[in-house]
Amino acid sequence: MQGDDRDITSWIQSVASNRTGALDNLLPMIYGELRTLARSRLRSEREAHTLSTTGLVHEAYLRFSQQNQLNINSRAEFFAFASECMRRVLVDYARAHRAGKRGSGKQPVPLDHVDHMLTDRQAQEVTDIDLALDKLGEANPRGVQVLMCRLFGGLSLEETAAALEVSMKTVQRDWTVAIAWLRKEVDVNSFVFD
Amino acid sequence: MSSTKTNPQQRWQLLQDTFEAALDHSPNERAAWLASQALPADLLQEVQEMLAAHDGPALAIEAGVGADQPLKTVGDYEVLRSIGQGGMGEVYLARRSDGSFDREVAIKTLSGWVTTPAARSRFLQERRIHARLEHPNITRLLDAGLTDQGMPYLVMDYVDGVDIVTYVTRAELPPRERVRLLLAACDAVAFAHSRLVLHRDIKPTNILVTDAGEVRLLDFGIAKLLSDDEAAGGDAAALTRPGEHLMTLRYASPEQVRGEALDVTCDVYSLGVVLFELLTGSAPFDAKSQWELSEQIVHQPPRFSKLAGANMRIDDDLKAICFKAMEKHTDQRYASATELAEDLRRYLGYRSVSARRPGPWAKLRHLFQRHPVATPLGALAIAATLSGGLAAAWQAQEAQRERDEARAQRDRAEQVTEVLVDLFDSDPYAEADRRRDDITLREFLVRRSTDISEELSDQPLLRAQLQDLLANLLTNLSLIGDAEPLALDALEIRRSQAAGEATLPLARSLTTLGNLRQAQGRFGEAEQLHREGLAMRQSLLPPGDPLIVTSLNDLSVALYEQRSEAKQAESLALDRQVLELNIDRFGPRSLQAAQSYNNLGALYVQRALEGDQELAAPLLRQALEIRRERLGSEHPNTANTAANLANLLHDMGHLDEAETLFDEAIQSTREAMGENSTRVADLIYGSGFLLMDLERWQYAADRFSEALNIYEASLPAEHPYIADARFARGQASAKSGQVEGARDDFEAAMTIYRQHADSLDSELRASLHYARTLSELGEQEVAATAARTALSRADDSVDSDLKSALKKVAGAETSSPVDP
Repeated sequence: MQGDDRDITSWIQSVASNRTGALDNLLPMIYGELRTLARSRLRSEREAHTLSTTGLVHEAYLRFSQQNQLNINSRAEFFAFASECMRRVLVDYARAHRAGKRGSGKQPVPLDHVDHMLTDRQAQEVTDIDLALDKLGEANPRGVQVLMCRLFGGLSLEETAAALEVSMKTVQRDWTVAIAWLRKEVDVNSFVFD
Repeated sequence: MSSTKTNPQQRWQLLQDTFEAALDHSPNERAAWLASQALPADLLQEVQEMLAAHDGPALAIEAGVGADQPLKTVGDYEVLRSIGQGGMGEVYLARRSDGSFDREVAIKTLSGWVTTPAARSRFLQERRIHARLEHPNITRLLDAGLTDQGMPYLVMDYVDGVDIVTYVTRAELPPRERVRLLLAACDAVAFAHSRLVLHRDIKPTNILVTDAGEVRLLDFGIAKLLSDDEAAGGDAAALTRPGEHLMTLRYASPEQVRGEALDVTCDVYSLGVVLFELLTGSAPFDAKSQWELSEQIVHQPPRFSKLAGANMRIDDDLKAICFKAMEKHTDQRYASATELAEDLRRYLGYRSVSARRPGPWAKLRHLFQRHPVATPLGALAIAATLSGGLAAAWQAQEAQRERDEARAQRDRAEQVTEVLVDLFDSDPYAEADRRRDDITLREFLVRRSTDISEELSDQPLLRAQLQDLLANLLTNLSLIGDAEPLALDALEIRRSQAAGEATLPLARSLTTLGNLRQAQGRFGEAEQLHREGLAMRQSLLPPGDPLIVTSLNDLSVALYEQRSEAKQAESLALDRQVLELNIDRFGPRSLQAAQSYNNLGALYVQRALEGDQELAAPLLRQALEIRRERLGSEHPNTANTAANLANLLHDMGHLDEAETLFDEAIQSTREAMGENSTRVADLIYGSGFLLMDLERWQYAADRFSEALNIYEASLPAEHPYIADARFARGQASAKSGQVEGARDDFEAAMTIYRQHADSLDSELRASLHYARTLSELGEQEVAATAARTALSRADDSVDSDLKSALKKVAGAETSSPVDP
């Protein structure tokens, strides 16, 4: 699968040095941050389909706390990390959603209210984005990071620049190119699945 | 798109450069420009698709991308700046934009929470209830609404403060001040409960403290306000949702974790957790994961670890209050925030807290804390006081609880204490006294003892019992002058009651007066009283009875202080006897045995014959080990043994180890007994000799002065300890060249020693030094007279070296001093 945990771990290690310690003290703060992230990520134009932010954050948080041997050094690093968490959460939801819809032999991921979390279109899109990001990873790793921070982390350009420790201008350029590419990719692939 | 030979990164760079360059051209020029670039076909196609996508519709997921434009207005409010991100959303500092309300407010936005029309209407209804919570310690909900986009927001008083844990940590507040702050929060919670509003999310970040030290609770009832489950008329809704659940887990009650219905005790629990954190600086549970934490909250009792609060001594009462607030079962918790607040008030008022069911001794301890002596006296001092003379018999009785006689005695002791407590507690002035910080324990006890003598004039037995108890307390608190009339009165009553017979109450009064005389430095009288008391107890009780052991020990101490060889020999024999009895009855590792090891060891140190050091060392080390283990390092008795060992190590030449032990002992005794306790003076005095050996004369003189000041403030003027301290200071002063000061000290010491029949040796030594300083000051004739006077007082018991030294000063005007 595209999203096995090895990817998460390597990402975390790229943003956080592996010193032991203070993580427990950061947890409450991080949790608040995650919620804000989730809320902004899941704001939707169609209110009826607003996702349950707390449920998502719950998921992301559990994933996060399983990594608690890591020391998150700054809020920015956490944002980057949380973005990856959110991606995994959404992909799991999307996969479960689609597995349930298509009645495949796979066991749906045991999440609450999966069907209310994502619309068909959202589930499809999340899956597509996940695949596309994997595809982009080799050619443009920083572009992937920018997309993740903004799409899954809900970060502004400024926050993204801080999280990735690059200039605003670089983030602006990377974003413009990468999002155009992503739209193109997702648009193409959506025909395949439908 | 794989026709190029370049690697993926290079290809992407080309793609990006091309795409960006194309964007620099206007849309209708782009196609022509691209065609001119001689790009590979697949790359050209990809750039064209990206350009189309760039101008086309956004992905659904882009709706959540963080806005780069900050929020300008919320409802009718103008946003000034963001002041933080809470668990529920952003918080802004804002002002009413139409100017009708000229004050800064805090606005919380809560997007994503209220999603259905039913939930919206509930949100708007609920806010009206909460807006009515007017309390000085609760931030008011001024307004609430939904923006045009449907985003709910709350408008509240803006509080410029920090969370309570940060506040107390920064200010390094002592526990009592921390309790006071939490008490304010408790009162606010109790008020809200009286308006039928639960908080449900009490945690430090919701309890702010302003610069002025005022407490403000935030987010009252917000958790419920945000419940968007319309089926949830029940209280549990907001908190049984996984997210909410998780957010407050650290402060969540077991019933919250289990998702059960909540009542006021859920807030009580959270207040308990906050109290715990205020006191220890850490959480009551130490979990590696959220799941583990949930388990611990539901199943594991909270613990005060040794590390937690290592810098602060946490009172057992406070611990008990924490535990009761954090009981797993709601019916065992404080039934309301009001009850918790009441217990905190009791704690602050030094009254017994309901979380503990105190015995009479604890009640008495509280009584004393409520009426602190003028010198700072910690709880430990009270405990030490009670475990000293007063409680010795009681402890002994407890140790043989199986015996009916002892049980009856203990019951009587408790009864007496209860009566005493009641007497003090029912005093009409007591309440007023509590408000006076300057009332001293002395004033308090003295006034009460006068009352006892008057009120109980028709109940002589009870009166004697109470006077006896009070006399012991006062003696142990070094308030000897006040103790004396009580002890004499009690003894007289009991003598007349006994009508010439031996009785146990009479023996007790003899012991009380004996201890008093001992404290006065009248050791010979003490010896006689203790002998009489011992004889009575031996005639009435079986051999080895704890009361007999107590008497033997008291007698031994009185003999030991008299410093004559014969008395010390008897003291040594008694100590050995007591040690055997104690080991027989209580075991070699018991506190009773430790006391014997200590006394015997101290005696060997004092006697200092050949081989005594080798005998003393293991005894004192064992006593120290047992006392450290059983009483703790801070206990005055532990410090006492440490000081004895320090003296020994000093004698044996281990000066560094001795100095360390002395400093430890002095420090902990100061903390436990107060700066001006005579026990502190004893230790300071002992450490002075160490400095003498290190030839730090001036420091030594300062130490002896320090000890002397304490002795003079709390002992009778003729007490031998005052003479000892002056004698010692004289020696240190002489060495550092302050000969006149030394002369005065020696003279004073000599004069005091002369009043004690058993201090001849000390007197003559002081005389010798006195004479020598006189001679050093050029007053040869006065010196010779002094030496001759001293010689005339000497008898056969006096050391011959001392005599010949005196003769030298008496006979020869130009003598070179010889050390006695």
